[in-house]
Amino acid sequence: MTDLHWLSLAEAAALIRGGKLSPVEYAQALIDRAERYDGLFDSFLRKTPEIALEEAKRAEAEIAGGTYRGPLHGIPYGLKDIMDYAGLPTTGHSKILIDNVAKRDATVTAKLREAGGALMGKMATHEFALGGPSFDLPWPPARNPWNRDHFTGGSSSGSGAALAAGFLPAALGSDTGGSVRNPASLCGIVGLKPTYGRVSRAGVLPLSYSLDNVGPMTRTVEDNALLLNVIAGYDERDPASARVAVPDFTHDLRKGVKGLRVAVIRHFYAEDMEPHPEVGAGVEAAAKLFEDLGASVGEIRLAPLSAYASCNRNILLSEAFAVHEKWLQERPGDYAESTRRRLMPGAFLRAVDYVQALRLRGRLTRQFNEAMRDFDIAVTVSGMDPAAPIEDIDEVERTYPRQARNAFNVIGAPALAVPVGFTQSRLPLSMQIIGRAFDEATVYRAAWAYEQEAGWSTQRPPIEEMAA
Amino acid sequence: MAADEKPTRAEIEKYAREAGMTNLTSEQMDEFLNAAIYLRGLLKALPRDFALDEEPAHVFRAGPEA
Repeated sequence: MTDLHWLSLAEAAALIRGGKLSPVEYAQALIDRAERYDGLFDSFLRKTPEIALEEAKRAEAEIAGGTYRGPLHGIPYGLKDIMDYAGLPTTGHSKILIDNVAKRDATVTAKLREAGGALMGKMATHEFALGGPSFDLPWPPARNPWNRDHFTGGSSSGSGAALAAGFLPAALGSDTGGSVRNPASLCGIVGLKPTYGRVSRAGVLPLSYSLDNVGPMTRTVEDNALLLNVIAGYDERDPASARVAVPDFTHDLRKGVKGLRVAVIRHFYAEDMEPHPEVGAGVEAAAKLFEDLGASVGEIRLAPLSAYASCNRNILLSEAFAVHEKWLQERPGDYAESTRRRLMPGAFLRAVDYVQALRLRGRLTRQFNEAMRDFDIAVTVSGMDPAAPIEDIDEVERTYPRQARNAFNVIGAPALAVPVGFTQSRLPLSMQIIGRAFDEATVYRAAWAYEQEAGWSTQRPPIEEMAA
Repeated sequence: MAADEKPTRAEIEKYAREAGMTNLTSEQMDEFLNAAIYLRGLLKALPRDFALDEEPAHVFRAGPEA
């Protein structure tokens, strides 16, 4: 059997269902591994081994008694620490909420508990899903398992690092301008920003109401689809929740890409920004692979990345300042310097700027829908650079906005970050596969076909060597 | 603050008081000034040439009806 810590969610679920893997032994193995190695990566803000074992024991008893709830039954998972688990603090990785104990589960937490998952812990984030990586908070920032001197990406940094390090097979992140896909990309895992409205945000600390999404993070595409199956669906607690049908996102995974129409958004990385050379090459190779697998590949042009960035930032800063205004007035010194610096521009935005950004959002969304009329999916880069050295703040600041992710928060479409290889210095590279609104199933179908051929998801970071 | 305005430190301190940001240290006031300067660049990239019927996405919905 594969080492327990490298089992995919799907593999572990099959073993658990068949009585060949004890959920308690599985949880204990991951708890032991995290205990041994997480001092290198600080991916957990708070470990919850007692909860994991208690929930694993319950799963084991239920399954032994003939009640199998589904693929998440007995599976360990992590929650970004902006998501409520009743009875545990939700800190947002911030001094400001250090004593904020959740009274009720977030809807996504309730769904994971109902599915029989076992909570391994609350994962490190950038403060309030915005700042970071920060060294002036009560907890350190997470580090990249491929090279701990490098940045994980953020803000779902602990979720990305823990998956890459083999501490758990599933975690949730949030994504307002790329915060699931950035750590997924830089840690070499799979992360989805679902369609806006697909997954409830009730019980999740807000950053920007109209841009926030909760998304699944895993090591494989199939696992990601399994996790989305559990957390997707209408929720009356979330005013943005969409009343749309939720398909089985694994149903079409193995259908292949023959006949699929793939659009490359090339100008994002060939004209709008100049990427690290290995980044653009990864997307081009993926497009070629889709063609070799029988897809038809074309190209679309959208607005330049600067338009999306301006739209995203104007909306995000306006809404985030509304969330944080009172704390910024009363407790400015309790924020990390980088969070405060990123929030403050919101103080100067005028109502007209916000409204014009919302008008631009409509324009950009219509343009995307029109461009995608003759295509099923689109592919483009995720970030323009591999992971920066985490303590080189200037380089982190330089590379952070060099990305093509926030475009899809603006238009609301689903976007999946998938590994496409490694740099010569063995840092992960990634691309995005984008779908039409509420068509995550086709995104997964294409991503699975690519993943099977490319094989990047079987690569592992040298954790044991690092610890030696 | 409009995109063509160049804020001074004094203006920013006045603005901070009006915005209720009265607990800022001197260093944090520098950050506030830098935030205003950063914002000028951001606003310059925001188009203003909208047609009259281009309504804001008041309640945003993804998909063709957006």
